[in-house]
Amino acid sequence: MIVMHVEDDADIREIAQMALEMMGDFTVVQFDCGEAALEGAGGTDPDVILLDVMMPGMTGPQTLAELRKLPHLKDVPAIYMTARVQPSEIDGLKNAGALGVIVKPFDPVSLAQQITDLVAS
Amino acid sequence: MEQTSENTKSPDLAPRFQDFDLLADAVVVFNASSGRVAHINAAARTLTTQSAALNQSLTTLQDWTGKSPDFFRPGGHADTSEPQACFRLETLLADCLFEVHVKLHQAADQQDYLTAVFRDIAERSESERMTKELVSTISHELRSPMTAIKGAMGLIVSGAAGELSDKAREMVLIAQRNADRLVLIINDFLDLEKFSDGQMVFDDTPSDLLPVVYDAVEAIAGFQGRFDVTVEIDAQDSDLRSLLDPNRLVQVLVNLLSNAIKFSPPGGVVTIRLAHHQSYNRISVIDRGDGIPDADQKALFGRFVQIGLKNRAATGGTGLGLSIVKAILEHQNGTISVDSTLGQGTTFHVDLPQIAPVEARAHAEGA
Repeated sequence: MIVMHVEDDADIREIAQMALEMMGDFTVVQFDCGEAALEGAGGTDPDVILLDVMMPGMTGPQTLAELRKLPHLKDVPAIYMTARVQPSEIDGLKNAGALGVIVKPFDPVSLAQQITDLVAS
Repeated sequence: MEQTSENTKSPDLAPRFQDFDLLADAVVVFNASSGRVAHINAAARTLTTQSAALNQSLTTLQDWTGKSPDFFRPGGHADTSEPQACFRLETLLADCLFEVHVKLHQAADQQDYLTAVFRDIAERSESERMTKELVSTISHELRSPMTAIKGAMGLIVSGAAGELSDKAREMVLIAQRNADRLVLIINDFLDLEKFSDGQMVFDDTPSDLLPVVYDAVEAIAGFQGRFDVTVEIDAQDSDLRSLLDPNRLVQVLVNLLSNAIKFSPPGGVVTIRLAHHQSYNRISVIDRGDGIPDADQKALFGRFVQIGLKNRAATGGTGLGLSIVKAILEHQNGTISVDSTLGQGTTFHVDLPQIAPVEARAHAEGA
C-alpha cells in the first residue's frame, strides 16, 4: 500500500515512515508541507493520504481540498493525524472529506494496523 | 479608686468613613432604597472625575454598578431568591475593568445601605491573559515533540530498531511511562484552556450509566495493573440513566479511578458503586487508602492541588484533575463530593440528575 504523508515535523515523518514500512507493508512518500504535496502529487499514486492538520502555510484541510481537485486523488481515502481534539472537531474533519482521524501522540506499533482498519472500514 | 473611662471601656475602633480615604480601592456607600450616593472616599472621587472626562456620570448605584437597588434586595438577585449579604460583580468605569464587592447592611439610623468596594483588575486581567496564553502556547508546542519522543521509544521497545538488553529495555520503559505522564499533564492543561475559553463541547445524550462505568474501568485497566490494585464494580442499581456526554463521564471516572488506584495499598481493591441517591444517580469511587485530612478536603477541587505531596513523584499529575472533573460535572448539572476518614480510605460521590424513560424518549425524538 502506498501512503502519501504530509507532515511538517521531520522527526514525526521519520517515525511514521519507520513505523509504516517496518511494521506494515507500506511504501511511504513524504512531503514537508501542503505546497510541496501539491507540487509532487502528479508523480504520486497513493492508496491513502495521511495528513497533519496544523502546518505552516497550507493547513491539512486546505491541502486535502486542493489535492481533491486532481482527478487521480479525487477519491483516495484521507486520514488526518492530529493532537487531542474534540469529538465535534473530528466530525468536522470527517465532514470535510476525511475517512478518519488518528490522534497524536500515536502508537507507532499499531499505526499501520490503524490505517489498514480505517481504509478497510 | 475611680477608674477613668479609658480603663473601663474598650476604645471605639470602628473606622470612620474618612478613614477609607487611605485606601487605594474606591469605596462608595449607597442608600439601599434610593440608590443615591451617601458617602464616597478619595479614590472614588478621583474615579468620578476621570469618568466625567469621558462623559460618564457616576451619581447613582446604577451608574456605578450597572444594577438597580432592586437587584440587591432579597429576591431581586438574578441568580437566587435567597437573601444575600454580599455580591460580587464586574463593571467598567472610566474605561477600566473593576471587580466590585457590594455588602448590604443596616446603619445606626435604621436605614439600609449598600457599601461597594471597587478594585481595578485591569492589570490582573492582563496578567491572567498572559499566563493563559503562555500555558496554551507551551501546551500546544509540546505536543509535536511528545509525539516524536513517544513514537521513537515505542519503536525501540517494539524491537523495530534492533534488539535491546533487558536493562536497556527497562530504562526505555521508564522513559516511556514518564512520557505518558507528560501527555496526561499536557491534556489537563488543554482541557482547562478549553473550559476557560468556553470551547469544551458536550455531546449530551440519554445514557445508561453502567456501560459508561464499564468503559471507564476498561480504559484504566493497564494503569491498575501497574499498581497491583483491583477495581470491582458494585451495581446496586443497574438502571441508572442520565442526560450527559458519556465520553466526558468516562473522563471523570478515569480520573477518579486513577486517583483511587494511586492512593490504594498494593494488593488493594477500589470499588465503583452505582446506586440511586435521593433524586440523583450516584456513582461512588471508593478506595481503602490513607484518607485525606479534613483541612485538605476543603481545597481538593481547586486548581494545582496535590494531596499527599510526599507521594507526588510516584503518582504524578498536575493537581488539575479534580478541578477539571468538577468543571465537567457542573456542565452536566451534576455535583461531586468527598467522604474521607484518615486511615480508612476515601469515597468520591458523583451525583447526576436522573431522567425518566419518557424524558429520554422525548430527547431522542428531538422534542
